[in-house]
Amino acid sequence: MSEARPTTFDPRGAILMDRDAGQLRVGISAPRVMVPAEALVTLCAKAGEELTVALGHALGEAIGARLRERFESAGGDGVRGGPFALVVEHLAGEVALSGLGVLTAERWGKALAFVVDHSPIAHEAIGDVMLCGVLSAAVRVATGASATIVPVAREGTRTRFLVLGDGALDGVLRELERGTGWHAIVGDLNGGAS
Amino acid sequence: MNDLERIELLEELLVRVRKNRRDGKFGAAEGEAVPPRDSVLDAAEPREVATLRAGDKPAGERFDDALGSRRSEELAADAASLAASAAHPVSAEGDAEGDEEPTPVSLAAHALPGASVLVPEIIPRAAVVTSVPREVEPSSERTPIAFEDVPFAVEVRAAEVEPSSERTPIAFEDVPLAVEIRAAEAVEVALPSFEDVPLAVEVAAPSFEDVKPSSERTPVSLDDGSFEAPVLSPDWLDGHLAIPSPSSIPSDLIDIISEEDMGPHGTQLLISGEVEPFASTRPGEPQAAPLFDDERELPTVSPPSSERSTLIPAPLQLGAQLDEPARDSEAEFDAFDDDPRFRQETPELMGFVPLNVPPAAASRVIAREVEASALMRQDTQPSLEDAYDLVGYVGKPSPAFPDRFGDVLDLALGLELRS
Repeated sequence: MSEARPTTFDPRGAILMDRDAGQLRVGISAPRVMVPAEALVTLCAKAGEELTVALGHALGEAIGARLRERFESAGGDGVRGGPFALVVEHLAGEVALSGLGVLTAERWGKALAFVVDHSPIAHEAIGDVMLCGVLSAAVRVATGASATIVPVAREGTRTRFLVLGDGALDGVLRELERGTGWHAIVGDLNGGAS
Repeated sequence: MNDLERIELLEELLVRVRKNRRDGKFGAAEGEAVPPRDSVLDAAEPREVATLRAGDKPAGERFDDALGSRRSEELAADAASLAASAAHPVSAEGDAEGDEEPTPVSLAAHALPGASVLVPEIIPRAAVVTSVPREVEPSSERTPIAFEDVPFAVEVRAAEVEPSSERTPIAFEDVPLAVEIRAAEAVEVALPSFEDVPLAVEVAAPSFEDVKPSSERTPVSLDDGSFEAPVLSPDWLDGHLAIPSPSSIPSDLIDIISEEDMGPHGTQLLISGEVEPFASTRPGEPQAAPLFDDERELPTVSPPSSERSTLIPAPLQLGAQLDEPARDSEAEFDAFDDDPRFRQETPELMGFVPLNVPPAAASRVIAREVEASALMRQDTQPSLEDAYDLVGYVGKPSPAFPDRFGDVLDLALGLELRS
């Protein structure tokens, strides 16, 4: 069995600075602009959720593309065929490179959760909205799967997101509006798994 | 100091002063003769109140800000009320004379005359109390100490009050309560030592010891003209792209899952051991970590009292009696049985599904559990297949716990709410 896969995430050289041009790049991406996190949150709050999600998608698509390219170039089965922990590690590395915090993944039975800690933009709810856009786009571009990311809990600097499909999305949103705890939702999700 | 801390400080004041009041102490140091109450709060207070009634600003302009726009009449009314209550004699035997319960402000004035500046932002009426310390003649025996030697007191003063030219140094050593409070504060803010609970530190609380403050971080120039942020170095990532804390598992979820008996593995256990966090992120370490490479590395099973614990699936309840021959870890198993917390928690953990425990660490713990499982079945040898059944997510992929990211994702996306 072929074990071709990327090695562990290596951030060295990931952020490139073109001193002559005065530009920053993450990998071979288009130039980036370093923006104060606080200013970004303020801008997103003014722009509203729809535009904030769109901005998150722009960031996440770039992340997903880098993951996809990295895993596919390694000669394996792409991101979908990659070991769970390794994919999460690379996804977390890319999220960290974007300055969005420390990402981990949790498997609650069959349910999957992303946890972002120490995100400089998540102290406001709009920051969580942006992270939803980032993660959903990253997963979509990397794997081709259409996943909806829903923030379900905040514990200090840590925000927990559930990765949901269309079949559970409405129900989960309804339960969250009712005030149901995310742990109860996760239990319900597993109990209702087909 | 924030509002909550101020309130806590005031409450502490109240408790301390009540204690001192019961003991007959009013700001006296340990072993020092208790001064007569009149020497602490003399008859000058009514005169101070009268001054306030005349419409003057309360003594000490430093309280103007704290008082805001309160009218002087209101201050005078407060002053009268406070002075009336404070004028009641307080005896060491308690409220023998039936006087009202002292207010925190008046008590603070008794116990902490020099530090009454702490009070205004909490209770504006404390402005009236400013007359109290001014009436206390400084003791000739008091030796002012350098404020830098009293960090807590300095911090409080700096945070609460603007410097005043009228302020005189306070001999903190003659204010035992202040010293005691400072000590208590130091205890409260002291960071716990996690040296004895390495996993708790490494897993639950990422250590940022190796991360310099942002002002000290210097981008590392590389030969190719690029640079990296030191915070993103591999070493740092190894320590911070971490697995979630086992302590983050909500008990509610455990209850729910227990009730529904979900999960493929039945019982879960809290197992402590030499778990190596983040091992899964080490380069070159396969996901299918060897299960039985070295039994000497098997972790120690101990009661779940230790914080060095993680959730691992297991096929049996270690809380059940293990009818097995004597073995090195027998005492440890007995500890499980004897620990009421374990008996209480074990049923709640049934069916719990593991977090993304580092495979290398999990494999060793699982190996231990497989061995125990075999012993329960009176088998002579643990089965590697059993181990794979238990920990498909660690060993070879299984339908229940696929290892491929795409399969994990598909499982999650295929879920539906039962209700």
